[in-house]
Amino acid sequence: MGRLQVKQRSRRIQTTITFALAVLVFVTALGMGLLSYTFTQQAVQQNSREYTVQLVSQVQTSIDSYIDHMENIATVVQLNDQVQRFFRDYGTIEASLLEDYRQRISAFLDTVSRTRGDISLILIAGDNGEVLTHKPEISLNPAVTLTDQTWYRSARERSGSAVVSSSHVQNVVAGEYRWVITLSRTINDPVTGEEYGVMLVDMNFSVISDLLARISLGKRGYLFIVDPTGSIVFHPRQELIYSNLEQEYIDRVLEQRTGSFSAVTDDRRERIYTVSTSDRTGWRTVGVNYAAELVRNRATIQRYYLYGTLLFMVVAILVAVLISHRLSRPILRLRSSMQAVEQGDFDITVDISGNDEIGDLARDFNIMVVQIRQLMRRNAEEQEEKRRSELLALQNQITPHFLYNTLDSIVWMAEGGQHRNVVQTVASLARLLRLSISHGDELISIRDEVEHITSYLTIQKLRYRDTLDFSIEVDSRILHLQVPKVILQPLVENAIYHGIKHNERGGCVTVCGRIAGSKVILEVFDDGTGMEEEQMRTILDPRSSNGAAPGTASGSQALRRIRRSGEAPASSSPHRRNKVGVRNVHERIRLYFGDDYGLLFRRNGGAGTVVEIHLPVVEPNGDHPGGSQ
Amino acid sequence: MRSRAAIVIALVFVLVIVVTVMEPVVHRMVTPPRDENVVVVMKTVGPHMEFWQIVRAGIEVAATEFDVDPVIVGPRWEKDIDRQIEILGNVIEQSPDAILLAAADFNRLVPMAERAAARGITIVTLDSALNSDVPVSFVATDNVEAGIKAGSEIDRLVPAGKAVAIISHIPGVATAIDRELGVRQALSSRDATLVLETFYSNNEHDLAYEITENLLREVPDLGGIVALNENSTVGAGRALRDLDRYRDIPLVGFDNSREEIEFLELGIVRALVVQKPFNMGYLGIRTVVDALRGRSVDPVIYTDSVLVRREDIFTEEIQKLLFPLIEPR
Repeated sequence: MGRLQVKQRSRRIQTTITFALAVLVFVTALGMGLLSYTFTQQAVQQNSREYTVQLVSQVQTSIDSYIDHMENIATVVQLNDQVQRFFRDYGTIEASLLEDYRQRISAFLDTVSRTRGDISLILIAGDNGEVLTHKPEISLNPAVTLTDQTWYRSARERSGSAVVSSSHVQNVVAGEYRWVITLSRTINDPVTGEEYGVMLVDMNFSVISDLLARISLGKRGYLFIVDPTGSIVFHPRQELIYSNLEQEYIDRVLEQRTGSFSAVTDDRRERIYTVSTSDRTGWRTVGVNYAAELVRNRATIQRYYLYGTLLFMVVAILVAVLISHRLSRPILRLRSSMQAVEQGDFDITVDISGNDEIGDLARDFNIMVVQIRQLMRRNAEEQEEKRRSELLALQNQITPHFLYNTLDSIVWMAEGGQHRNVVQTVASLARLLRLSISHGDELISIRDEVEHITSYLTIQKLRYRDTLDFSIEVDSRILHLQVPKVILQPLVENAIYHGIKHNERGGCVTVCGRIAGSKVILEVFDDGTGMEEEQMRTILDPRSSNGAAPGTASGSQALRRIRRSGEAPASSSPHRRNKVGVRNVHERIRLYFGDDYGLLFRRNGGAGTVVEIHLPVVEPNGDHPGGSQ
Repeated sequence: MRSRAAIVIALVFVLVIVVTVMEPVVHRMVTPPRDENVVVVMKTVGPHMEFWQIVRAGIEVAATEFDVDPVIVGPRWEKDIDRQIEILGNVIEQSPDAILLAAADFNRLVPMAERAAARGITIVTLDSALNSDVPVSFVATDNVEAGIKAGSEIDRLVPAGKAVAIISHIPGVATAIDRELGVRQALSSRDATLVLETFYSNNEHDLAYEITENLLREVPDLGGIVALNENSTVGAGRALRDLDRYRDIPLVGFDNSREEIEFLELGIVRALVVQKPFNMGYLGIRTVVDALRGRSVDPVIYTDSVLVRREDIFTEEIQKLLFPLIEPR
C-alpha cells in the first residue's frame, strides 16, 4: 500500500516535468507561430495594398492623359484659323467657297484625329446649322437631334470649358453604336467670346476598358471607375450591380477622394477599396481587393506555419519526454535501491554517475550504505563475540577437570576421615554450582560473585591443603552493585597457577573490593613468583602469539572446535586455558562497558602480581550504557 | 535506454518525413477540393450570336468569382440539335462533376441528360428547359413574365377594337410557348376574337416579313403586332418599314440586335423586351457551384427582363444591356 503510493508519486515527477515542458513548448511555439504568421501576413498585406495604391494612381494618370489629349484636340480645333473664320464670316463667304471650307475643315479634323488611333469621332455642330465631321462621308443618325444630346447641352451650360461625359453609347453616326468617352466644348471667338457652336471629341472607350480589364488584382480583384455623380464609367460587373446580384459601395467611394476602406459584402467576404480621384475629371478610379486574396498564397503560408508549428511542437514534446525521463530515471533507480536497503539488502550500490545533485545524492547514498554495512557487520561481530565469551565463561566456571579433582579430593578426605573437610568441600561445591547455574542473568551482585569465589577458594584451599591461603576483603558498601558474572574465578585460577602452585612454601590469594571515584575496583593479589614483564604485557593482547589468540577468526575456530567436540578443550593445557580465561574476562568487561574498563596487571611490590578489575558503578536495576547493549 | 532514445529519434525523423510527404494529401483533406470539373454545353458557340456571347461573359465572371474553371462547348449553329446531342455524349464520357446545359430541344436531349444524371453528374439547365426531372435547377429568363411585359405594352399601344397579332418563332419551343402564354395573359381583358391565332416565322426573318405583309393586307382592323423573338421582330420591323406602316401599326418585339435597336430609335419598333443573358450565365454557374458544394438550390431560378422604349435606350443601365459588348468581337 505504502509502496504503491510511493510509486505513483515518483511517476508523477516525470509526468509533471513532461507536462510542464509540453505546456511551455506549446505556448511558446503557438505564440511564436501566431506572431510570425501575423507579422508575415501584415507585411504581405501591406505590400499588396501599396501595390494597389500605385496601380490605381497609374491607371488614373493614364486616363487623365487620354482626357488631356482630347482636350488638346478640342483646343487646337477651337483655335484653328479656318474653323474660326468659317463661323465668324459664314454669312459673307460666297456659296461656292463654302464647300471648299467644309472640305478643308474636314481634312483638318481628320489630321487632328489621326494624332491618336483611338479618336472615333470629331464633330462640330455649328449654330449656323453646319455639321462638320472628320470624315465627310459619315451620315448622321436620322433619329438624333444634336441639340437634344447631353454632351451638347452640358457644353452649352459651361460655355468655353471642356465637359467630359461618362462612358456612353454614341448614336450620332447612323448605324454605329460605339462606346465612347465624349469631350465637348463650345466653339468661341477667341476675341469676343461669341459662341459659334459645339464640338465633340469621342474617344473609343475600349482604350480604357481594355486597360482596366487587363489589370488583375489577385484572382478576383478588379478595378472600376465612377464619375462624380456616381454613374459607372467602367465596371466589369455592371450588369450584376444593376440587377442587384452584387453590391457595390459607390456611395462610400464618393465620400472620399483618396485612400482606402474595407467593406464586408453580404456573402461575408471582406473587400478592400482603394480610391484615387482625378483632379482632371473628378472620376474615381477604384481598386477592389478581396481581403482573403491580399496575401497571395495565404493558404500556403498558413499551412506552412501550421505544420511547422505542429512539427516543432511534436519534436519538442518528444524531447520533453526524453528529458523528463532522463531526469526521473536516476531518481527512480535511487528509490528502488532505497527500497532494497529498506528490506535489508546492504550489498547494493547505486550506479549513477554524473555531477549533478542526483549524482551527489547517489554517491552519498552509496557511502551511507557502506557505513551501514560496516556498522551492521561490527554489530554482528560484537554479538558473536559476546555469545562466545558467554560460552567460554560458562565453560570456565566449572570444568569437568575441576569437578574430577574436587571429587577426588572429597574421596581422599572421606577416606582420611576428615568429615569436617568433606562437608565443607561438598557445601562449597554445591554453592559454587548453584551460583554458576541458577543465574541466567548476565549481571550478578558482587555479593554473589564474592560468595562464588569464596566457595571456589575454599575448595581449592582444601585441595592444596595448607599451601594455599586466602582472604576476602570487600567493602560492604559495594556488595549490592552489579558486575558481569564469573569475572573473579579466572583471575584467581590464574593467581593460584602462577603464584602458588609452583611455590613450595605455598602462598596467599587476596581478593579486595573497593570503590574508587566513579569506578568499582576488584583486586586479586597473589604473593607468588609473579608474572614476568613480558607475560603481563601480552596476556591481554589478543594478537599474542603465545597461546591461542582470541582474534575473530581463531576465536570462531575455537568455537567451532568446541561445538564439534561437544566438550571443553580438555586437550589444551590448563595454562593455555587459563590465559584465555583471563583475556576473556577483560574482553567481556570491555564489551559491556567500553574501553575505559577492563583488567590491569601490575606487580605486587617485591613479589606477586595484582590484577585490578575496573568496573563502573552499576546499581541493581540501574541503567548503564553497557547494560542495554 | 540508449536504444530507447534511438527509437524516439527515429520516430521523429519518420514523422518529419511522413508529414512532408503527406502534406498535400492532408491539405486536400483539410480544405475541400476546389477543382470541380464543370462543363457548359451551349446552344451555340458561334461568334454570330451576341446573346450567347454575353451568356458566356456572365459565365466567365461567375467562374472567376466562384473559383471554377468551366469548359465551354457547343455546336456552331443553334439549329444543329444532333450535333449538340453528340457533344453532350462526348462530355458525359469525360465524367465531369456538373453540366450546365442550354438544351437546343425540349425532348431530344432528355435521354442523354438522363444518362449523365445516372452517372452522378449534376445537371443544371440554362435558358431552355428540358422535358425531364433530372436537372437540379433551371436558370432562365421568366418568359411568361417577359411575355406579359410585351403583351401589356401592346395592350397599352393598341386602341380597343383593334386586332393584335402574335408572330412566334418555332412551335413547341419552350420560349415560344411561355412568351405566347404571357402575351395572351396580358391581353386577356381584350376581346378574344381580336387576339389572332399565332403565326410562326420558323425563326426566319423572311418568313416573318411575309407574315407581316399578309397581316397588313388581309387583316383590316390590325392594331398591332407582337413578335416573340429577334428574327420575328426584325422581319416584322422590315415589313412595317418597307410598307411604311409603322406609324399606325405598333410593333413590340424581343431581344436587342443592332437592327432592332435602330428600329427602336426610328420608332419602327415601339418597345423591345430584353433579357439579361449576362445574369443568366452568371446565375447558371452560381447555381452549379451551389449544387456541387452542397448548398440548396431552387428548382427554378428566373432572371428578369426589361421592357425598353425609345427614350430609355441611352440611359445608363439600359445602354449597358442593349450594347453589352463595347466593341463587336
